Amino acid sequence: MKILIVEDNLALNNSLKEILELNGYIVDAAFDADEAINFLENSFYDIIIMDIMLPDIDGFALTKFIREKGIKTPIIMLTAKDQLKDKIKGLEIGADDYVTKPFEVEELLARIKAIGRRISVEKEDIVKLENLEINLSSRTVKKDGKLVEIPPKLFCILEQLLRNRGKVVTYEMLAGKCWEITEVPSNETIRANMKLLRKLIDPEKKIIKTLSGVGYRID
Amino acid sequence: MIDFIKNLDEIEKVRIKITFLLILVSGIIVFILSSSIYFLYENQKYVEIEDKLKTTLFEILPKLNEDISKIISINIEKNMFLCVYDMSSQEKLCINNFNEKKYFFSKFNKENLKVSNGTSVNQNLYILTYYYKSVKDFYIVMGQDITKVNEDLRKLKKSIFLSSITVIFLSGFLAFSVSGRLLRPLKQQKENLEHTLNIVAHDLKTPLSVINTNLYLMKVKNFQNVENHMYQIEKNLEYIKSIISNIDALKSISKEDLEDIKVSEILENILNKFQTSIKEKNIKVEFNKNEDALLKANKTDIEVCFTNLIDNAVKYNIKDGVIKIDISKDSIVIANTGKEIKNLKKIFEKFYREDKAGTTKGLGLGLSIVKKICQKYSFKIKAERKDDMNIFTIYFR
Repeated sequence: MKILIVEDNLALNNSLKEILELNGYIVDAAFDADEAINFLENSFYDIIIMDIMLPDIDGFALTKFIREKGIKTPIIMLTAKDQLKDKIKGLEIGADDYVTKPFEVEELLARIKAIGRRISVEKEDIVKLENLEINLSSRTVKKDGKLVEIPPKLFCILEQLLRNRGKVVTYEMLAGKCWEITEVPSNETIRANMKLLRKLIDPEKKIIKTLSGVGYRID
Repeated sequence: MIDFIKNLDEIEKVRIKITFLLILVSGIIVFILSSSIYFLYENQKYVEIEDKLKTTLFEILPKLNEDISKIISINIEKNMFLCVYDMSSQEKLCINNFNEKKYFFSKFNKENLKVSNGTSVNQNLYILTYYYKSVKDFYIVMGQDITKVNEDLRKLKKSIFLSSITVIFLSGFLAFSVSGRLLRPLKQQKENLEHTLNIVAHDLKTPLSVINTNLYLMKVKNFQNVENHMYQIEKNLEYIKSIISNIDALKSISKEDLEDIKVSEILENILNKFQTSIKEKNIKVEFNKNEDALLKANKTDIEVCFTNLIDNAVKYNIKDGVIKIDISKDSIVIANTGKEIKNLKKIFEKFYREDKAGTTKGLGLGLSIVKKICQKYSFKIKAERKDDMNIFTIYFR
C-alpha cells in the first residue's frame, strides 16, 4: 500500500515515513498542502495521513479540496486538535479517521490496517492461494508452509493485486502505488519486478495472470 | 431549566446567585418600606377621623346635662352620624349628615343594648362609642363614613404593589448587569487561562509525538544506529522545556530569584541557539554593542523575553533578511526585515496572531509574554515600523 504523509513538522514527517516504510508501506512525504496537491495529481495513494495545521492552507481546506477534485483516497487526520468540534468538522468534510497527537504508533498502524481492509476487495487478512498463504496484516508470505522473504516493493505489487482481486491492475496503477513519487518506473522495470515476484511465489504462473500490455490480475 | 443551569459555568452561576440574592434583599426592603408607608397613612387617616369625632363629642357632653334635644342644634360634619342613648328614659336621639342633616327620636330597650367604650371599624364606618356618667347616664355612639378613605387606601395599596414590582425587577436587572460587568474580568481571566492551557496542551502534542515516534523507531532498531533519533528527541525536549519556561515567565517575580545579568551575554547565547534557522533562511545578523546593559532580574524571564523576540525576528523574517540588534546602557533594539505588521497595537495582546488562519505554529502567546515580563520589571516596550523593518525597543529604565 502507498501512503502520503502531509505534515509540516520535519522531524515528525521523517520519523513517520521511516516507521511506515519499516512496516512495509511505500511512502511519499509532503510538507505543505501545495506539495500534497502536486503529489496527488501525479500519483496514486491508498491512504493519506494529514496534519491540520499546515503552513499554507489548513488540513480541513485541503481535505475539502481533495474531495472536490473527486479523489476518494481515505484520509486519516493526524492532529493536535482534540476538540470534538474539530473531529466532527474533519469527518464531515471528508476525512475517514481522526487520530490525535500525541498518538501511539501501534494505534496509528492499526488504523491504517483497518482502512486498508475497508478499501480492499479482499477483506480477510490471511489469503490462501494454491500453495501460498499471504498475510496482509503482518505482510508475510508462506509457500508450502515455509516463510518466503519478499522485499517491500514486491509485496506491494502482490498486495495491490490481492486488494483488487478479480480486477485488472494496470502498469500505471502499480507504478503509482508501489513506487515513490521521485521514482518513475518504466513498464520494463515493472515487468522485471513481476518476474522476481513470480520467481519467489509463482514460478508456474498459475496465480498471477498477465494481460499483455495492460497489467496483471489475480482471480 | 435544570439542564440549562447545569450547563452554566461557575461564574454564570455566581452571577445568577448574586441576582437572586439582591432581588430577595430588595424585595424584603421594599416590602418593609411599603407596608410601613401604608400603615402610617392608614393610621394617620383614622387619627384625623377620631379627632373630628372627639371634637364633636366634647361639644355634646356639656349639653347633655341640660336637655338632650339641644344636641340637634350642634353642627355635625358631612358623612357623620351620632346617636345619644338616654339610659334612664330609654329614649334615643340619632342625627346624621349623610346627604343632608336629619334627626329622629326613638325608644330603645336598655337590655338589648351592648355597651362599650372605644373605637372600631365596621365596613365603611369608623365608630366611636362612649358611656357618659353624669346626673343621668348616657351612651353615645358616633360614626364617620370612611368609604373615601378606604378607596384612597386601596389606590395606595395598588400603587405600592406596582412600584414594588418595578423596584424588584429593576434591582434584578441592575444586579444582573452590574454583576456581569464586575465578573467580566474574572471570566476573561478564566477564559484566558483555559485558552493558555489549550494552547500549551496543543503545542506539547507535536514534540511529544516526535519523541514517541523516534522512541518507537529506536526500539524497532534495537537501539542500534539511533544517533539521529536521539538528536530529534533531545531537540524536542528542548522545545518542551522552552514552552515550560514561557509558562514560568508568566508567574510573578520573587526577590530570591534576582541576579545580575549582562544583556549581551544572554543575547549571544540565544542567537547561538537560533544558528540553524538563521542559516536556513540566510539571515544576516548585525549585532551592535555600544555599552552593555546590566540588569537585576530573573535570568529565565529575560531569556524567555529575548528568545521570543529573536524567535519572531527569525520566524517572520524574509529569506536573505536582516536582524539588527543594538544594545545600549538603557535599552535594546531588535529589528527585523519581516513583512509589515498590520496591527501594531494588537500584537502584544494574548493570542493575537497576524495570520488569522491559525496555521502558524507556536504559542501565540510570545509577545504577550514579552509584554508581561517587561511589565514585571517596569521596562517599557515599543513596537514600530520604520525603514521597512519591524522594530521592537525595550527601555530598561
